[in-house]
Amino acid sequence: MQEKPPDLESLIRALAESRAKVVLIGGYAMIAHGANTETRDVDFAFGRDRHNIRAIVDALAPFKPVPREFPPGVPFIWDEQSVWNSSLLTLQTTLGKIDLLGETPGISSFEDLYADAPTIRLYGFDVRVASIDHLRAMKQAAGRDKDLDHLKMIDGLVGKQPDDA
Amino acid sequence: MTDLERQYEWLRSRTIESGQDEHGNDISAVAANLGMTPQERIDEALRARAFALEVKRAGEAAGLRKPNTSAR
Repeated sequence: MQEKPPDLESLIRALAESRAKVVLIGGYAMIAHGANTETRDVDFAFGRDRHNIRAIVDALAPFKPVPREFPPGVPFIWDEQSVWNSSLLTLQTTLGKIDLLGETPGISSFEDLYADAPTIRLYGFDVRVASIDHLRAMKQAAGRDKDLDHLKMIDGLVGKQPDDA
Repeated sequence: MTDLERQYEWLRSRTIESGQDEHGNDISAVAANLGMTPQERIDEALRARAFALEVKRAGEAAGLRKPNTSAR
């Protein structure tokens, strides 16, 4: 019988057990707020201090992260330096696609994002989710085609009309 | 150069920033998918779906999601 592949509960557990300070952002954060959207990659903003980076490296190591930009077969060492050197990591892991953002456009600081992030209970662990206002700010700052679509969804979630200021 | 490598190079040529094209499409994800088997892609999709349902449930339980809210 084929072994069941690990699911994303493993990721949430690993992040909680390593005490990584992260905030769920992107499509899954929108889903937590009630949006009917689809996404494949799990996006987290993270605090860029050495202690937290160590925690993130430890948490993700079992899932063999490799930057998606890397050509197949190119060796990659997952360590603190590789996280420290990049403000955006788009990773392929054994769990799927995980993106780590050390900088979040439209938000003054990770501390602000974290402080305003409500907590949800996911697989028995507390997980911070970006507030709807911060999600909106990030989408506005990104300003890509898909972000404009997401902005309409966010406006729908908060009951904002197109003519509202 | 193999077909996979050619496809990968073409995708890389479309990438302008952070693994994305000019429309915000995640080219790095498409490139990563090229290296996966159909079964691996299905497994990833099923994991994503299960996670989305759990996140949705957790959001509702935390009071983030209003019942019967339409995103459209």
